[in-house]
Amino acid sequence: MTQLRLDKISVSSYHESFLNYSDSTTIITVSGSIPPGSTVFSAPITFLRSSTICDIFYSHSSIPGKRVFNTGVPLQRTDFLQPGRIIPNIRYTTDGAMIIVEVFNPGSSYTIPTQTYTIYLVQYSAPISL
Amino acid sequence: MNFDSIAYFSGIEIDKIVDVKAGTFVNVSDTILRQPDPIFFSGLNVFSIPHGFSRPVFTDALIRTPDLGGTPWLSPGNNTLNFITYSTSTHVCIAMVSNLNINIQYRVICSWITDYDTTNPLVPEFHPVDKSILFDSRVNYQKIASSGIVTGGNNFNPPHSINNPTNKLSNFKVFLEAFAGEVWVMNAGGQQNPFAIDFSQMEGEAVITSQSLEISTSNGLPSQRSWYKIYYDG
Repeated sequence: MTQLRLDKISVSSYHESFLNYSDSTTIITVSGSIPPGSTVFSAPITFLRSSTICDIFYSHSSIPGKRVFNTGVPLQRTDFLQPGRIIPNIRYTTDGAMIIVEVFNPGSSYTIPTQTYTIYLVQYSAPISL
Repeated sequence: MNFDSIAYFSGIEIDKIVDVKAGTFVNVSDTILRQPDPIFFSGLNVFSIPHGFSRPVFTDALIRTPDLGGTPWLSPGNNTLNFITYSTSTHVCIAMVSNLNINIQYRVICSWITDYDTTNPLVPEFHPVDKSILFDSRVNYQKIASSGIVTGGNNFNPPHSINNPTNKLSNFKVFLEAFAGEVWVMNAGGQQNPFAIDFSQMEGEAVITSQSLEISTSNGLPSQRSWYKIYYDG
C-alpha cells in the first residue's frame, strides 16, 4: 500500500476529495407584524442526499458576509431585532431541508423592518454510501 | 485565472480524504457521557472510533436513526437529531445531544489537516470499497484558495481577520481546538450552545466577506488553535 507525506502535497491521486455536486440559493423574507411569542418564516430546499454531504450558509440583507449553518451554531443572533431575537435553523427532511427563520418577540406586537435571508446550499460528493 | 470555473489545476490544493468511518452504535448504551460541568451543562453522549492516524483529522459527518420514523441523513448542527463531531490524536468522536436510547448509523469523513504539526507522517492511500477511480482531473473539486492555522488566540474579539483572496463570498470551513488536542467542528453560543459542556471550552464563530474571513473565539487557553479553509468555489 502506498504511503504519502501529505503535508507538502497539493493534490494526491491516492485520495479522494470533495467533488462539487450542486449548489442553489433560496431567499427567505422576514417582514410584517410580529405578535408576542414567536413567528416562523420558512422555505424548503429540495435536494437528493445521494452520496453527498452539504454545507448550508446564510447571509442577512443588512449585515455583510456569509455564515455557515450546519458546521457552526451561529443561531443566537441578537443583533437583528432588539429586544427580541431571530434564530435561523435547519430541519432536514426526507427530500432536502427546511430552513427556518424564527422571530422571538418578548414584547407587544411589533412591525419588523423587512429583511431577507439568502440561503446558500453547497453539496459535494464524498466517498460514502448511504 | 478564474479558478472556480476550471475543473482542476495542479497548483491549487484540494482536500485529501484519508478515511471514511461507517457503522452503527446505540446512543446511550454505547456512548460515554462527557459532562465535566454537570451543574451548568447537560453534557454530550460521545461515541469514539479509532482513526489509526498519529494526529487529529478534520471531520465531516452524517447520521441517521431508523428508530424515529426513519429520519433522513442529517448533518451536524441540525434541529432534528443534533450532534457534532471532533477528533483527537487517536479517535474521531460523534457527540450526541440526545439522551434517547436509539440506534445511530453514521458516516464520518476524515480529511487531512495540513501542517497540523511538524511531524508530516506517512499516510496510507485510501480506497473506498465501491470506487475504482480516486481522482479525476476532469471534474471540479472544492479548490482551496487559502488555508492555515490561527495560533495564540482564545479570545479573538474583535475577530481575527484573514485575507480572503477570492474577493467573493466563498465557501469556507473552520475547525477549532475546543479542548487541548481536540479538533472540533466550529461551534459557539455559550450556555445556548447545545455542544457546550464546560466553561473552559473554546468556542468560535466565523463570517466571510468579500475581503476577509473573520474568526471570533472565546474561552479556552491562548495555546489553543483554529484552522480555516477558504475555497475558490462558492
